[in-house]
Amino acid sequence: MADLLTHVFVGFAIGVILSWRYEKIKSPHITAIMVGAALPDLVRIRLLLDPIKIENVLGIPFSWGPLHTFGGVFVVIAIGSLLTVQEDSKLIFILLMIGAISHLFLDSLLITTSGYSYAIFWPFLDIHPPTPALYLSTDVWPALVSGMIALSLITLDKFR
Amino acid sequence: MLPSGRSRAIVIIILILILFSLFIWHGTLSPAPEKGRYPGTDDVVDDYNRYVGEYVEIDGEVIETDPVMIKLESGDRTIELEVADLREEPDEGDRLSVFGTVGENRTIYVSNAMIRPLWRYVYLYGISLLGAVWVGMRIIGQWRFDKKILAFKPREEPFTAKEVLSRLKRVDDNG
Repeated sequence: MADLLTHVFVGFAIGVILSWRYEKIKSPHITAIMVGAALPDLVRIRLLLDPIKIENVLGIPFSWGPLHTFGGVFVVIAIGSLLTVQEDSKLIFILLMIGAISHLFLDSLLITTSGYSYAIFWPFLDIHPPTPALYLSTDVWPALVSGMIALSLITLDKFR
Repeated sequence: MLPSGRSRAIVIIILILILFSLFIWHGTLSPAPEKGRYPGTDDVVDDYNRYVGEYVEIDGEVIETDPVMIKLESGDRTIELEVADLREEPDEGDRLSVFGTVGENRTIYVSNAMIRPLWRYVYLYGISLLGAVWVGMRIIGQWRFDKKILAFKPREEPFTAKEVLSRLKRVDDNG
């Protein structure tokens, strides 16, 4: 997974561009895309709640992995959008999904030692596609580049 | 989209149950190299001998450099492996990711490896925290939770970053 700041910058940039095209999309909606772009990293909960230990306690197989797949974020986002007012929930669902898909897509480009990425479309498709290996989550430049893009969009936005 | 109240609560409960079933289902998945899912660190720690002769994708901390040894961790269990055929020269404390074949006598033969010093991870978590704080501040400033209807709503008058900080401070002071 790329660093969270990069994901949030990308979500922000997508939001700003969409706000130019769709009047409905205002600042809180850009935030919703950013939240969506951060959501798949909920999978880092495994650093706090070790799935192996959960398996030992519950006696059943367990993995936080779905949180970082299309199927898992779909369900999380469906729950999240039901916690917004009824007239907004459809729009919020779409915005959160846009953010989350940007995250899953960016992470499918990460360098791995096997050359294969992760099962992005699970459980709909159980295949780890080959990765184009563009960057590492620990690289510094993705946050710099995405930050610069976000900054230029803010500047452009001011002049519109 | 959906009527509020009871039916909304029922749908949310069903979705939570679906999510939990996904967690269990994902936990049952076994390695499938033909799908690009190679045995990982947890698998190798759990049953090393089962994977002898197979390709695995593992990572761990470098604990010795001559020969290179890494420590794999899974839950409370750890194993130490010698890393053979490594072209790179890691330092102690680096994280080493390896794609390679499992040999007998606790040795892994590298096909492809990647070394990352610890500070890279410090950077990753630091910068990620910054991202989380930014999103958190925007949520607090622009959204509110309406307790009457149990739903998030955009604020009519969003807070500035300064107002968010002073509100957070007040909550902190009070509790």
